[in-house]
Amino acid sequence: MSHISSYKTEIQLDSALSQGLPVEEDPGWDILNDAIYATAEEMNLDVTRSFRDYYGRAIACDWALVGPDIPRGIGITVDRKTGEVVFSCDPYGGFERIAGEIKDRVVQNYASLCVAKALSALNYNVEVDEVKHPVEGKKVLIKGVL
Amino acid sequence: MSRRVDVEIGRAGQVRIEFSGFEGDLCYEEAEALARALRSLGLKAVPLSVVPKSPSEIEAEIGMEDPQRRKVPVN
Repeated sequence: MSHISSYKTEIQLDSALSQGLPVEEDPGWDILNDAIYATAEEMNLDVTRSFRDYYGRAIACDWALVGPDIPRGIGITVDRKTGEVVFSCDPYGGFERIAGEIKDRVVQNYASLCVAKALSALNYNVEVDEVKHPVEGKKVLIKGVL
Repeated sequence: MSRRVDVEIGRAGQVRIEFSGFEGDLCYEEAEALARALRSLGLKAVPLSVVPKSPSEIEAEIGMEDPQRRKVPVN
């Protein structure tokens, strides 16, 4: 039999933590780094190490994405105890929408990189394609053939 | 027929996966293996729906004709 499944996804970098290793050694750390840089390129953002609040105070984080549409930036931090990935920003002044779009794109890019890597690890021949949907935005299509 | 997995990743990482060409329950075993591989990479995939393909969809995949569905004249 064959079937069609739908999933919602969450990022949690806890593989290394479960072995007593620092989260920076988690396989997902480099994938998250790649997903963030891919998002920066796609959305014309810069990657920094801090974002700012309404009062201009800098807040340190693991990565931050900053650009003309979100000048204070959005921070991304991995919880060192749980591996939870936390997105933070000060959205006051109408930045909720763009912050949400950036977060969604990072998660989408992360999921896409993971699916391609996982299918390769299961010995599939993998092809990746992207389409722009007029309403739903970017979609990533990944084909794996055994 | 070769086994094939087609994945569509939408906004915010919503994932739709179509398994084709798997015999019996192998597609479910493969879905579990894929979920485990994703989990090891830090991606938790929480199932929202699982829809088995219909017999006609499976037959279309493997190129067989359904003997119960034949074209008939309509006029």
